[in-house]
Amino acid sequence: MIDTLFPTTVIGSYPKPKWLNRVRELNKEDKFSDKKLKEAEDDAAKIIINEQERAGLDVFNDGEMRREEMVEFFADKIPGYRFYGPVRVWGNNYFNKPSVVEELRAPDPMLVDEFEFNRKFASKDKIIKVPITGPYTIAEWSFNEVYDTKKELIFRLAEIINEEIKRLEDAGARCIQIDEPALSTRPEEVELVGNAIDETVEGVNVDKTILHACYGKFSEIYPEILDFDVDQFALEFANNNFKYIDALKEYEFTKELGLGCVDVHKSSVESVKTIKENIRRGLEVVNPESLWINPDCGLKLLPKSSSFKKLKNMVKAAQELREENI
Amino acid sequence: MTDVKTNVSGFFPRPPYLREKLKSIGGLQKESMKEETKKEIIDYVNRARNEVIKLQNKANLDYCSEGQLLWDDLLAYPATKINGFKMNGLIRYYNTNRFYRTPIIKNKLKLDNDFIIEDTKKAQNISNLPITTLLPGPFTLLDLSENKYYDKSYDAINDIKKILINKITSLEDLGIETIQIDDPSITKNFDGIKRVHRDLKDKTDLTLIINTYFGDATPIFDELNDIVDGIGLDLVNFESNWEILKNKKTPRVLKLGLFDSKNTRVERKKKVVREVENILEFIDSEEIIISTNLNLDFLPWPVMEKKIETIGLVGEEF
Repeated sequence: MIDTLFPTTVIGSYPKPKWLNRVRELNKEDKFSDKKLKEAEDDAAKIIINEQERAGLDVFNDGEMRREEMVEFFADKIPGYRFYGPVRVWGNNYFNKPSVVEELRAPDPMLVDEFEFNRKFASKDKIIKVPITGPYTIAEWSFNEVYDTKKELIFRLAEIINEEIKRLEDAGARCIQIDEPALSTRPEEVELVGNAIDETVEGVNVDKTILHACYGKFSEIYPEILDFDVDQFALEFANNNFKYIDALKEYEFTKELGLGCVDVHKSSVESVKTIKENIRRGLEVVNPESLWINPDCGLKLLPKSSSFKKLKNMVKAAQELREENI
Repeated sequence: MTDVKTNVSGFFPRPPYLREKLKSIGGLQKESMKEETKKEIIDYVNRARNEVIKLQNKANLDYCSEGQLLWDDLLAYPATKINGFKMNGLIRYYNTNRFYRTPIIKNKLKLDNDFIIEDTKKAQNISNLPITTLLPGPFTLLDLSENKYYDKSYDAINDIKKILINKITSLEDLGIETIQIDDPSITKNFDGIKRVHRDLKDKTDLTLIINTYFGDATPIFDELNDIVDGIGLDLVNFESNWEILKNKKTPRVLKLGLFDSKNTRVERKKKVVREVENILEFIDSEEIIISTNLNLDFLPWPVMEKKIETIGLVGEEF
């Protein structure tokens, strides 16, 4: 799919321009039409596509300019979900946790327009990555009023997401990333997650399927995750100081590794030298041909300027390593 | 004959105006804050407290919760008022998708500022129903904190106990009759449960209800039952807690967590009434309290309202 060593990419989200957030607020207050919001989203998407191209990335998207929250975005589009109101996540931070109030029905295409737009505005030699929240995480972060078990809900969601991925494939998408941040929060359910992921990618023939997870004790779900039917795992490492890299070395890592080599929780920008050292840690796990380079997670909570600089340094680090033949 | 009463487990979700206000000042349980900002927040909290107390009064519950609207989580509010704690980063709250800030014990724990008392007084002034106050359980406070000061956890728990006794005594002076002690970690079966809870109980005549959730209460039930007046059980998530009701001598006051704070599906009145009738057949408590299984801030506001209303309706059947 990509013939360079160490392809550089993002996990998905990028800081939004303040004016876009403002337009969205005004739209919620009925002071700005949906059409104008769409226009603002289009503009923001073009800017971020351009920004990531300038950073030199190989694989990217629009920084999820049209998405606010990774579960809410999808639940809002799937018939059968309802939002009663925000629920506390911690302290004074609340999120719109959706409730399944009827059996879930098939949604209209959720991401095809987004993909087609991004494809159109990115250079042809670049690859568009499409992040999509996985069934386990959506189920885990929903109230379930309908299905007898969480498992039933997860598998219904897996069907729905599978359908969406196939639509994306038909639209020409080549690289799909399933986001499952909830994956390692309950290690005892790793088999269930695996079965759901297999269902999610059933019959999918895009060039690359990636599973992204963060915030977890990867040692507790490894090597089980190697059985998942995906090509690559994009995991967080920088934030926890490569704590789990040794655990991954205990078994042959039979997939590609997307190495989180830049911390998204600290705005200070890592030097090229540091990132190169981080990338070398990844080479302890997989051979160079199987290593992709990415930040730990989405960048949306960082200041905009740090995001750009982090990506630039990350690209430069990968470039230097390619030239040095590692 | 068993009295059938109703309440909720406290810890209300914050209404939007309070959330927005707190957002605008950038966080609440902080160490430093200007006096005028504090005053402004107190006005907003008073308004929210009024609202949640009104809800409970309107639903005709038998006890009323103060609401805990100032609490960011079970630990942050007390820990920022107790000398010796420093607040640290976020950690997953038990097996939930919620997070709490970890208190680190850096020094000997001593009561520094007042907490709970003023809020309780305000609640008493506006409620026609008796107020139930909430305190964090000693084992939970220790279990979820990081101890970097005490060599022995025995000493830490003793100091925590002293602080709690001080609070319990002050609340008793206010005329409070029931305190709910949320001690979810107690189900992990720590050493010293009996000693610590007996010491709390010995210092007071008011009713202490030890509320358990996030765990099966079976392993600690007998030990606890020997010494405390009241126990709260989560009867939604722990089938095993039903076995306790069927097979064991139950405490004087039994708080029945029959309404699920972790699901937006509102319970059917008739179904809960049947469950309560069923329970009344095999328990020997003086009083049961029909309630939620755990704190209400797991729910969105409108669902919380609906559940309180339904609890009131179930209570009317007895």
